[in-house]
Amino acid sequence: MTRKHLFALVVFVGLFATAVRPALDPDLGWHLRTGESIAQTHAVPHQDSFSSTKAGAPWIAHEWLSEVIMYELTRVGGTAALVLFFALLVAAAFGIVYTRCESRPYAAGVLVLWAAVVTIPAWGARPQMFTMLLASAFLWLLDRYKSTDNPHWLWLLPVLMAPWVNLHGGFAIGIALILLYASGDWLGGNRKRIVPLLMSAAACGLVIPLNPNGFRLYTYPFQTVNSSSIVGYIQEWASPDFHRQIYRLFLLFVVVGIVVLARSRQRLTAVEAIPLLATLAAALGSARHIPFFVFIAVPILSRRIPEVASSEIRGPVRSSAHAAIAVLALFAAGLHATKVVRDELRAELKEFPVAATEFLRQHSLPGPVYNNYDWGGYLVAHAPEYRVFVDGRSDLYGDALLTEAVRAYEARPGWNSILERHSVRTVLVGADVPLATVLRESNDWRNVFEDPQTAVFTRVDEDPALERK
Amino acid sequence: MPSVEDLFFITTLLLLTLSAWAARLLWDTSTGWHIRNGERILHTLTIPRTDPFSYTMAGQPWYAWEWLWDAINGALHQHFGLSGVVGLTAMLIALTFALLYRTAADRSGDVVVSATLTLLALVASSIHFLARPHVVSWLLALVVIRELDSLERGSRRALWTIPLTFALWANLHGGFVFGLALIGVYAVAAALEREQLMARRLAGLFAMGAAATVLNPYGLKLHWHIVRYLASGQQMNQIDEFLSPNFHDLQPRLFLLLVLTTTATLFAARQVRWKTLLLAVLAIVSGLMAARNIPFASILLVYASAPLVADLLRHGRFQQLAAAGERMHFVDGGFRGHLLPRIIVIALFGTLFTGLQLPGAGWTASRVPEKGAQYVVNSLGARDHVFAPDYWGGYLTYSFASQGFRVAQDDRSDLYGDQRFRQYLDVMNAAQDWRRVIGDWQIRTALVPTDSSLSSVLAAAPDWKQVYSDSIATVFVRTQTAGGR
Repeated sequence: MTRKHLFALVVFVGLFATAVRPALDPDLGWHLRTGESIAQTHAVPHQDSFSSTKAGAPWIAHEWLSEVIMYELTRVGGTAALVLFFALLVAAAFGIVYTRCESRPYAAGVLVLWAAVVTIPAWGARPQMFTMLLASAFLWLLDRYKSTDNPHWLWLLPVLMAPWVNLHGGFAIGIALILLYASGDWLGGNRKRIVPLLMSAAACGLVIPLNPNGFRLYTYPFQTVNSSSIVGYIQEWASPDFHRQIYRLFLLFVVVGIVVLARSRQRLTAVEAIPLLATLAAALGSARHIPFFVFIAVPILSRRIPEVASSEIRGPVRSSAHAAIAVLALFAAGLHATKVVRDELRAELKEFPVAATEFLRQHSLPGPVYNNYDWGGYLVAHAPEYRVFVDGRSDLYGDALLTEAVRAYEARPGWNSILERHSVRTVLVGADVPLATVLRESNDWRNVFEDPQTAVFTRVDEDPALERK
Repeated sequence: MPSVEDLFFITTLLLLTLSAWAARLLWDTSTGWHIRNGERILHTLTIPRTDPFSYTMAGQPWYAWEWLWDAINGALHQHFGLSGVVGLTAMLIALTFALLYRTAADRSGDVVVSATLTLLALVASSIHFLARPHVVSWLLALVVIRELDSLERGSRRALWTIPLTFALWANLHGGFVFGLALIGVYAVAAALEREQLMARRLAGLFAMGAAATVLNPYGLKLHWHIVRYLASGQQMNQIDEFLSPNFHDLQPRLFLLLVLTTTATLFAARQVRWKTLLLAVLAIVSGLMAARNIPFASILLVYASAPLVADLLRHGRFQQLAAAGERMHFVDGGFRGHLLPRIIVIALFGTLFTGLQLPGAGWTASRVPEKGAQYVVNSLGARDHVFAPDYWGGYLTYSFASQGFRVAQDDRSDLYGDQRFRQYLDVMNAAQDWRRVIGDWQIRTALVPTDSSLSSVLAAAPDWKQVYSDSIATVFVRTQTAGGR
């Protein structure tokens, strides 16, 4: 094994190791229950059976195939199998990016690692990882077409689209990527490449109805991005918060990218620029689009970094003293990145209401239950006899109910009416949230359980023997 | 004939003074305590060293670093009321964007490109169009850029205009830090371009500018105070205007369009100088870190991108458009003198001398607790120990300080510090500890937004009683000490 191969191996082992993280996604619970239901009934659900607020309402279980895979992995190998599998998906996605790079292994390896770190907030045992892998694969195929002008590469795109449509709602990104490449070719004057691209986009579009929900998936992606509550209330749909360290690494990536591309003698082509700028806009609009931006940016940068580095950093840097400084700087940067990753993990360790849920079940507290949005998935999995008020299926609940859930959570005037309208008899929320504070003051509710993280309340007219624990 | 620059000035000025925008300039009630502070300065001929407006920080050191802005607005308010304050702010904003257009047009030689980019920047910047001293920083940043450019062209004027500008700036607004950053960028760029003599001159100018900023009532202590304030993670991560922009809103989207335009032209340009690149990077980083920096960033992006866009049009597919823009620029160059803007400014301020007020130059009823506050002060006779949101603090000081009213908290976040700010948030967000803070601050009355978590909590609390409510604010008074809940 050569030194270069060893370096590449170290990069990807490190990437895989970083991607192996506790399965803490808030939606994991209802994903597993859905997968279990499908595995046992051999039917994809079309109605909700987990919530009290939308019981029986039409539900587009668009990630059914992911959910079956997740359930089977858990059944066979426990949570460890789940975690390892999704870590492999992440590593594979970035492995494909690496193969699209020049300047392998060193510059490309560092760039891929950096890009991977800035996408960490999106990682987890969740169907979105399939979208990351498939988007990366789409870009590999599009690049092969670009470099060979052989349209046969494009016919694999609809082949990949077929499972994608059944794995995750991000399949629309695949078509968007094709259209961006087509736009770049049109602007760049490569007109003969446009028709095959458009035809493959059309073929991908024709494949979309090949899912249990049929033609409804044509509109599903647009419903999501146009939902004001999804965009307004769900953090990963919001613009990146550059006060968070992890997103500052992303900002640094963007800045370095701009400097390199502006100073490079290799001018950006239209087919590079259009997807790059479009995905940058998407990434600044919603943090969950950052992976698509870095998938496109990394190969573009890898082609130019050696030229810019050698032209801007002249002869003296080759001396040993300056080389030592560069190594130290890289080491310090690596240490900092490690700390940021660790801090991010700590931040993600949202404690689930384990003790409160046990209390709920042991004392058979009355339903319906009002719960935090983030805890809905946990309750679906760990308190299956209860129906949740709300969980991560924001497309199911819709703007009106999500707004109600938020108003109740924030204890805005009318919170009581919201709980009454939905016949809520038990509330399980964070101990420090406004709803918990107002319920402590209210004569109509009784605090029956409290720990530093969670508070549980029941209506006063419920079982008077239920003492606060 | 008015020039395009004149049109930018006139249109912006009239929009901000005669339309609903006049009221929007007063949406941030901190204008209120700026005005009252200015009046105190004029009355006492001293600059405050301790806080006069709150009871929680009474006697504590207060850095009224914007004292000169406060004094000017205090004087205007005494003679013209809120219309004077709105008029000055509108004029400064109009001047800034007219000057931005002029700068872009001079650099690009193209009216269409410059006007389009300036218009984008103007609308994007409207996110922070408020009657507050930061508007001065936008104008002064542009002045510094123009002076630095004149230095590059061989003029020595900057050797005295820069220090003078910074001496003034340090007494108007803390944004002088950005001004120093600009000189730093120019100096680094010159060094990277191997223009050693220019780099040394700029380094010297940086030192002169920095030294001039010490000429303020607090000396070097002001600088240390600003550094500590900006390093405050708690406040920088909680105060809306210091948060990163939300690109789902209109103005940030237009800023994003400017970012993408600048980035695209940087990638496509035949040659990019370090100065242009570093200014663009400074703009992008500052704009993405805090929404309040969008105007400053937009100005830099227009400055950086205008000549690049014009050059691309000239050498690309839009040569006819470029030619038209250049012809218009040539014609526009003949319209000098700025007669019409002068007439309009004189007419505008002339009407103020007659006692007429600008329509809409007042507090927006839906944003201030006018009746609730009057109830607290006049019906309840409360003068302190009243909890209210910090964003109402300026209005309360403006309306009732003369009656001896003192706030618990307002938006002078550098004064109150991290710990008190955390406590304030605990109450506003109805956290578990709200009672402890209410007790520590000895709050007896609460004036809160009707549609708020705290309103619900106080309504449910047995030791608080609602005594007044309207669609904006609700008033609660403490009836007894809560026991045993």
